[in-house]
Amino acid sequence: MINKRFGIVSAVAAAALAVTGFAVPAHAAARTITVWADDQRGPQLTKLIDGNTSIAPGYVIKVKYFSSLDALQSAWDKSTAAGGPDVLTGPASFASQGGKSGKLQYLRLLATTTAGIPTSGWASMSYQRRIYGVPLDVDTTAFVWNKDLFGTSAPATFGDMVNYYNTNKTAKGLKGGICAFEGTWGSHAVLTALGGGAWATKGANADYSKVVLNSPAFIANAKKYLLDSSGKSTGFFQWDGCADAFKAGKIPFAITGAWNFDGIASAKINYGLGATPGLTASTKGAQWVNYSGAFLTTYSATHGVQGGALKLVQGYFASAEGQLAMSLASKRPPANTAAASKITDPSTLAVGLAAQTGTPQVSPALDDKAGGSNWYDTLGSAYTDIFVKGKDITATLNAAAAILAKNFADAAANL
Amino acid sequence: MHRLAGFTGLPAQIAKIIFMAIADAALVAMFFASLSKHGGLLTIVIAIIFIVTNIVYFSPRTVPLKFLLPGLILLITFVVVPVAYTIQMSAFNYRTGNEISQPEAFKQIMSQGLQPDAANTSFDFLVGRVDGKLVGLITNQADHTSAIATESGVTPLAPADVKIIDGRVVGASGFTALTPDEAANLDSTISNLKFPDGHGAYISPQGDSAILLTQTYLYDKKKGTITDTLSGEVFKDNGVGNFANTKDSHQLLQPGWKAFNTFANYTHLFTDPVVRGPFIGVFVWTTIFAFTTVIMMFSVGLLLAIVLNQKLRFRRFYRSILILPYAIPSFMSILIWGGMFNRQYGAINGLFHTHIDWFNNPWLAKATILIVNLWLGFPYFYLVSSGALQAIPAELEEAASIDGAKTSTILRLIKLPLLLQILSPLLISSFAFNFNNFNIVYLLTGGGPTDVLHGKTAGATDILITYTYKTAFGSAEQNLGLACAISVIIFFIIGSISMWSLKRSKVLEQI
Repeated sequence: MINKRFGIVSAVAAAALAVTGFAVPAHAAARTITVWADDQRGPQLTKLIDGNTSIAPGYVIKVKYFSSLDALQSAWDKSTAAGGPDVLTGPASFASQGGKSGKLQYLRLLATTTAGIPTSGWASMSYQRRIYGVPLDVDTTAFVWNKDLFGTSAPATFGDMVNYYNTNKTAKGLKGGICAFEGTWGSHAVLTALGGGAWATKGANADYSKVVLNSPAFIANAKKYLLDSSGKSTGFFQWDGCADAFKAGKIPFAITGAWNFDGIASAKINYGLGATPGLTASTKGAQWVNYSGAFLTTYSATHGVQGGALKLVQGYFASAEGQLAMSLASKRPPANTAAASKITDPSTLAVGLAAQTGTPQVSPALDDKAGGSNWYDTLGSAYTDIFVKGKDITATLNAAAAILAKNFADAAANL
Repeated sequence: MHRLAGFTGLPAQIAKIIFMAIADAALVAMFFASLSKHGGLLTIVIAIIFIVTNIVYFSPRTVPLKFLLPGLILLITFVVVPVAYTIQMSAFNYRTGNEISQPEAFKQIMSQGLQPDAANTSFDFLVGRVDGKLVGLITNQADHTSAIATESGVTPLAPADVKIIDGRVVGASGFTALTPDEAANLDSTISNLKFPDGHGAYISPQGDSAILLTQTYLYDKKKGTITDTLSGEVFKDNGVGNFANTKDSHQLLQPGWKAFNTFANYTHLFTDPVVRGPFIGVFVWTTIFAFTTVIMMFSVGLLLAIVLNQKLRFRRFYRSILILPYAIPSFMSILIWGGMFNRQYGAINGLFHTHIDWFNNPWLAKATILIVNLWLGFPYFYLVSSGALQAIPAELEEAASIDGAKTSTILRLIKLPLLLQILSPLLISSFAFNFNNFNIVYLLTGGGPTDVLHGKTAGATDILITYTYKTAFGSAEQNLGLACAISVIIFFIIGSISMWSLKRSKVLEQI
């Protein structure tokens, strides 16, 4: 009986070990540098660096990407050293979150590295005056217009757009005048074109002590261009789920980024690119200009690949060669000025040009919710109250500004 | 104990060996994977499962356990452990900025104290060995002088002693550079090298380069304080997971650490008006939603079951199409309904030529959720009610009819009490399910509308589980400890209601 049972156990053990031989992963993975990205950047990075062994000799680079930015954010939020990445790529907002949580490694960069990228890029990667990532490319939007509807020349002023909408609304079955594809984030160019925005500026610097969302100029212009005589929306300004209507040719103007240009072209929209028209021919709306970055995680030290991951971040992601290759794949303007000077693609150039008129997107200020809710939610609520529910614009914007003032004051202390 | 009919002897033994071999292989693979990633408790748990599984399935004395063990393992892994972990985490200050261990946070804070000098002195860096010791061959990027940096100091090299190719120093006499593979294998050691420059600063490798750093944070172990030598500010452990400025308790050194705070999350929940206000409102709506939605689904399901229990033309066809909402994945149905209720482009407003703003009015948004959840849930209650109706003896109805009872009386006084007795466990479990029905709220309204302009932080349709999710993961600032505390409260509410209901219905006594 004992021999028989011993035989069975031996057979199981032998079979288990045989199966385990296939199941246990090879230990060579110890020197793998794992890079996380979202669905936009991931496929491009996979083509460019997945399996690469020359950027950081002695290491192999592995790119893992997620189905969306939300999925990446969610995975990053829940990550631990056991399964987390060595290098993270994504929006600049990762810098403040990762710096605060201790998941990102504070970078001490060489002067040669910092010199290649504008100061605003490094500012976007900072939290409490320490840099946590290298800026990869400019994350911003441009103004897009449907040439078949409006004509080949861009509208000169905001008023031109509104006049076109009012004149053709019924005849052409328009479902809106201008569509901010990316919701409240994308709508900033409309706010600033009409004299509004988030905070004031003092020279070249932001003045977080002054909220301009409820400025008298903006309220007056919004009443003139976006609302009718009874204070209700004319339907010109759209920000919620309007992308399909633009692609269907039912909205003549839009604000969106390079990631949507292929989709617009696929919808057979003959479009032009530029900066959002302002109140006069010489003024423009200023969209948020943000940077995407590559961040070194503290997990890289736990995984024993910190040195290799640093070479990848500083030697490739921050370099002109690396950024040029990524820009050619993504059509996003590179952050590195030497790489930017070599761009020839018209779409990338147009977005880069539009970015020059933009406002630096300071994520810690926009994400702060000391006042109860962050910039995006507050603005969304204000839009709904004004343009959907028809509430009084002055009272609504004053309530929103009171929240934002607390947010900006709180954030300014940590910038 | 009966053996499985017709499956004994050699085939059964072979099947057992194959099954156990696969199970053991999987457990061994998981054990090593967990061990290689310093899984700690998880590694021990896998080892215990491995040992217990083999003892149980190779011992002739543990026949009942052979059947119970898989269920027990799954119950412990996916129910007991998460509940215990959630309870444990609810007693910690566990939020954005307080996520890592105290030693790790301390290490990072001190690392942040290492600051470059004003000139940002940088070096080309090559790691290698001199007399078997790990050293750095450094070349100042400003004046191009080279030196050998060791743990005891920096030794300048004469230009004649260095080998230069393409303008870059690649070697020196007595210095043997590490190959890339060797350097990669020593990554952790190299990354932690700090070569003293003899003037109180360190030369620290940064990939292919090195940089001159000075420690600006001074840790006093006796006092437990960190002093910023640049600003003179002193930071002390505040007892809740951070080093805080002794003169301004709001100024914290980041990152903080997960700190034990006993019942602080629970007291915060009930004493902080910013948290308490939304919590109570959300709790009330959660209870109303769960109760109303179960009543609505049960009523419609029962009504249809009664109607289709009669002989009707096309009865099979009706029964088939009633199952359709149940057959379509719920998340798809919810998203489709979300599109149909869209104010501008939705089919419902289009059909009725209205411009109703379903999702921005609190009451309409609540109604929308109830309507869509009714659509998703009534087929289930139709099915169970049909089955239960057919299980009621026909003699009871006949006897009542003979005694002169009307159809409505039979339904109210005979069928409904019997049905409720049969379906009580399902109604209770449905209430519990809807109390935590995350999908319907999150996918349809996202918990909104939220009147943020008037200080609201919870949405009008948020239920406790979506509110918990928002608290834990919904923004850049996450509060996982507080979310765990809310989860524990939900757990006890659901558990208490279920136990009370089951006891009242005496269902457990009849099992």
